[in-house]
Amino acid sequence: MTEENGFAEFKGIYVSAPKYADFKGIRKTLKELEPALRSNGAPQRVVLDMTPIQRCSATGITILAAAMQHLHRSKRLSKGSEIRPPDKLWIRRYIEDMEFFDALGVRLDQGGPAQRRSGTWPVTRVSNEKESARLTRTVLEHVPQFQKMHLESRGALASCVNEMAENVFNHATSPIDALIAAQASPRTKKGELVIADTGRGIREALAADPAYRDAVPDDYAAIKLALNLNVSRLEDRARGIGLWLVSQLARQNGGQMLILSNEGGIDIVGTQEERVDGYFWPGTLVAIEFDLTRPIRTKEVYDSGDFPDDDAFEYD
Amino acid sequence: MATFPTMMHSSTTDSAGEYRLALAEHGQDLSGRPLGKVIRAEVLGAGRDAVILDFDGVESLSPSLADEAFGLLALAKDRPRIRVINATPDIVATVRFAVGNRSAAAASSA
Repeated sequence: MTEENGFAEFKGIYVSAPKYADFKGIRKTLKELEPALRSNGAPQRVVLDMTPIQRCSATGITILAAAMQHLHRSKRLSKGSEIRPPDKLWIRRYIEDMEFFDALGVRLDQGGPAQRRSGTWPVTRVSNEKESARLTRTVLEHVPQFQKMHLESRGALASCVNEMAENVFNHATSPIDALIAAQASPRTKKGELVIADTGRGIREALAADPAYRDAVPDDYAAIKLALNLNVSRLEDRARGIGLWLVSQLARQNGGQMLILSNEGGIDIVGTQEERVDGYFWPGTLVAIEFDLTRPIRTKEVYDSGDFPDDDAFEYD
Repeated sequence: MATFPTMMHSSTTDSAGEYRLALAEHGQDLSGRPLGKVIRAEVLGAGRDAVILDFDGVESLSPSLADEAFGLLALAKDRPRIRVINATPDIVATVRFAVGNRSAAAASSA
């Protein structure tokens, strides 16, 4: 990205949002953000140009919001930032409904009344487990496509959100806490969940435990390790269930889960898993797309492996 | 000796004299280790030989809470007998997994 008009007198960075700022466009969004996120010697101003956006979703909007929050907090933008809203009115309305501008403390002129769009839940910052549980319940009750799901699939979705959020609270030390958004499309029958933080990343968290230090030479290795059951930085080998469970649920559902942490990434698509290189996210980003026509069942995950059972309790 | 904070909790003693803890009082979605600690303390602090965990109205149970509340409960010394009722199959599976996983970790580190 080049410095654009009017930036000559101070160091500014211009970021152009991609045409498709949605789940499928995550990698393009990250590429556009990379110069700003990586810039050495703090830029004084950042311009986020959203005019090219033709399609977007909860995932893309959350990434952009988290990136802008991160830049403000970490780069100390002495000349502030500028957001050029999308050209297409319906995209602008969608982004307003997602409370993107609210999340950044920005007021738009001539914005008009914002209405809650059915099927989406706005970008929300959560900073503890209670807030996460409250948000999860609200999302499940207000997004119609989630409401229609089988009870246990809804329960599994709730666990996904809460477990990912708890990872942020326990491990990330994120200055923006966790940004979460959700969306469900009646047209595609897909649901999206995204959780972004700008904390230390999985590798640094795991490397704090001497038992894992040598096992995480890079960010990809750290993510790969963290996806295993009972891997946790907290030296308690019965912990470390959440990320593993969420990834198993995505696989079982035939959905997709993208995890990015600093320089590393893994993309899980159904039963396939692919290493993702060449992208950068300052912290950890988990984006999941579920097939809402298929079940999401934690029982099936637990039944699918040879896990220790225990008859300590009675069950009716 | 472990001490537990005084807290309000919803419980009943039914006609059979059993002590029942209504977990939905904590919400439809049970998640987070802090809440897990609270639930475990409620069970251990009840001072009963047997406790029923009633999941009626609970829609989801996160594995972290299940480990903190029930996995560690299963290992606690002098704990009451526990019976789980009105839980969905997914919730039963999550409790069973948490208990088995915690017990196995304890056994391997012993």
